[in-house]
Amino acid sequence: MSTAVTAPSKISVKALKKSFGSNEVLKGINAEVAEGEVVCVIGPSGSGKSTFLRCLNKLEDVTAGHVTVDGFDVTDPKVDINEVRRHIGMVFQHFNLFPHMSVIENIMLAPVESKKQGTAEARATALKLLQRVGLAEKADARPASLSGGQKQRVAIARALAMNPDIMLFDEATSALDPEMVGEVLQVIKDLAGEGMTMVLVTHEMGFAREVADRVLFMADGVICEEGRPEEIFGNPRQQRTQDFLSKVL
Amino acid sequence: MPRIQQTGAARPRTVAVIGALLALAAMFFGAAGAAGAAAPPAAALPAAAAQAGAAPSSLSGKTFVIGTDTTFAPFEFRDAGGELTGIDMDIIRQIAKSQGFAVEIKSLGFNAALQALSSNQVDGVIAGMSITEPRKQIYDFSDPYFESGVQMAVAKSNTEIKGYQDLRGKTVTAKTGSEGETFAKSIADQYGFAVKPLDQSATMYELVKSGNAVAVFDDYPVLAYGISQNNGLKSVTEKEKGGSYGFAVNKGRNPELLKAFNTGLAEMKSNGQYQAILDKYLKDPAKAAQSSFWDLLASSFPALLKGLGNTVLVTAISFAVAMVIGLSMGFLKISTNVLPRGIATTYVSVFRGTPLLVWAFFFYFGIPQLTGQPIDIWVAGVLTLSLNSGAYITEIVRGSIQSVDPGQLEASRSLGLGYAKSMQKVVVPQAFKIMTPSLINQLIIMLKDSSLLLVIGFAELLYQGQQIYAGNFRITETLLIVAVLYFVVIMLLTKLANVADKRFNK
Repeated sequence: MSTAVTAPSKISVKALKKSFGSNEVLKGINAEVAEGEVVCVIGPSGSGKSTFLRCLNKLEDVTAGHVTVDGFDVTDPKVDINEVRRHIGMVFQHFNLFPHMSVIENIMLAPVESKKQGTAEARATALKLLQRVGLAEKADARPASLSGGQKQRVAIARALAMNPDIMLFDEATSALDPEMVGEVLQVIKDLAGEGMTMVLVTHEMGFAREVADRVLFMADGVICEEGRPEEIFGNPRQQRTQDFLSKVL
Repeated sequence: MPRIQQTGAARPRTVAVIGALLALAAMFFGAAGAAGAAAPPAAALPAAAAQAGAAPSSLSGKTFVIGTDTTFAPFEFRDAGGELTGIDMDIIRQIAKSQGFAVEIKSLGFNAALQALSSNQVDGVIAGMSITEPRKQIYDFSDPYFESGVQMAVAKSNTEIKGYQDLRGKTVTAKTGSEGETFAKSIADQYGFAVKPLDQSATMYELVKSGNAVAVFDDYPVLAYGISQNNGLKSVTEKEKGGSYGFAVNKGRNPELLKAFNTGLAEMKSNGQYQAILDKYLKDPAKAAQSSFWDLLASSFPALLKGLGNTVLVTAISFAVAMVIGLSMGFLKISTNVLPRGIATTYVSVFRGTPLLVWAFFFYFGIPQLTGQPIDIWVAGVLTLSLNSGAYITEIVRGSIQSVDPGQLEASRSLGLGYAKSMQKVVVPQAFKIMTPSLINQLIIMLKDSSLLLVIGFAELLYQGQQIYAGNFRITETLLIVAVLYFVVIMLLTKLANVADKRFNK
């Protein structure tokens, strides 16, 4: 236990299993993510990529195994999961902005409600974050008036407002029109450049190749192959990996 | 009587003092009051006079709640100004005055008044009620104050029905539980007709005028008065020898009230007041002039507006309570825990699965019989409406919360906000926007459902309408005015709600 807590890795996953009823989606996953590392998870639909990601901040309850994030064992019921989640930002495929709040209120909600910041401080931070994603002029707009790309950039700013150590991206560009993918990927790339620890589930192979330090290929609930992007994309060893890449590249 | 004497040793002296005071007071009330209370030797009723001195002592300053019918003209009905009037009203008020107690009249409807008496919601009932053996088992009756009798009437234009022998194969109507019904049923087989009982005189007359029944059996004074008020009927038979009307209290309760009634009645009979009241209503009732619709509107409007005020107020209070119930139960309903979910599910099934009317009767008449404590009619009304509506609002709340995109809760939770905080800040505000149109709908349904409270005598809009047509027999026109009032209020309410919806749910 003490070794797990003091391990240098930011995320440590051991023998993770997850079932929905009788359907076993994750069949024993082992993975480590080091501080500042960018890990991309690729694989065919239904392979368990998103479920794996959602187990990292306990949006899904783990059936068996252990997930340790930032020194917290998230599978331990005694651990305050809300505290853990404040260290982990998450970005969703469908943005999930709060439609009844303005853009800046979306970003301020968590810092203010968790009493991490006062309203004025939270507003200043939120404006800085909006500047960073290039949307300062949209602070008082409603999410409904934004384009998909703008929404996703606001969602990233919202996740960053809690100043997380780790960012999780669940197919962050899959719901976007092609011409908007670039602006979102640019923001993610900037984050990677700043040394943020990140796990991304993605279908953007070119992007994965460009920003990932390591790529995990998942199929049928297990990690089939992992390695540096040039290894996975340039010289895949497993037949499953080769089949998948031949279809998407 | 023995009970009164047992209640206190200090009584005799008090009696003397109060008796003297009353005698003094009686002089100021004029000859009528004085004849009974202050001049015993002159009366041919020495016993009554002795009681007259004693009865006020235990009753003076007391207020008794007296239940009565809504629609039994000329015994009780509302005059053009909306005031309760009639033979019963004049008698009970005169007796209260002469015997030194106060009365609060509750116009409940005949059956409701009897239920209220059984459940001690009222102290006595005077409602043109015949003294019968079955009723004597459960109530204590006064001396008879009116000799009645059943008579048959048909529509004015009807030339076929001249007697009971013409009723073969036809349907007649009579008031539920009345002498008229008993009599009609007793000869129904012999003459081969069917009896369809209704609750109110006015609706019985409408049934006959509409041809759905050919004749009505009703107490002759009631029929005679209605005919004089242009109710569109004519009587075709002589009155049957019938029962006597009496004032009733619950068995074994309020014996001093019953005694005071008998004393006062005897006084009225001996001093001529009694006959004056009968003559006022039966011998020479003011024949109603055919007034226009606008006269009806003008004369009925104040009473209807009062009813409308009560309708709006009881709906507003009940809706506020129903929202509290609905929101709480709605949250229990989406709980992952079996117990709270079971509580909410049971509540919804019970109140959605049973008629509103049953609960109105239960709260107003049932609860007092179980607890022995009278219940205020507003409390009973609000309980009925809010518990019924709360069940529907529970489902509206549950449905609205569940129809908020689950991604919203996930996004909020992923930011580190707890479940309660996430619900409060993210899910519920969005659910409110979704549920608003359904809530407006529920509010409008409740406003109309509040009219059902008339069964327990709650003075809302439709009840006031009934009171008015019970006196003037102009059912269709009165109901038309009532309907227009409902329509206007609901239209205004809908507009208001939509404006509020737009403002708060941008």
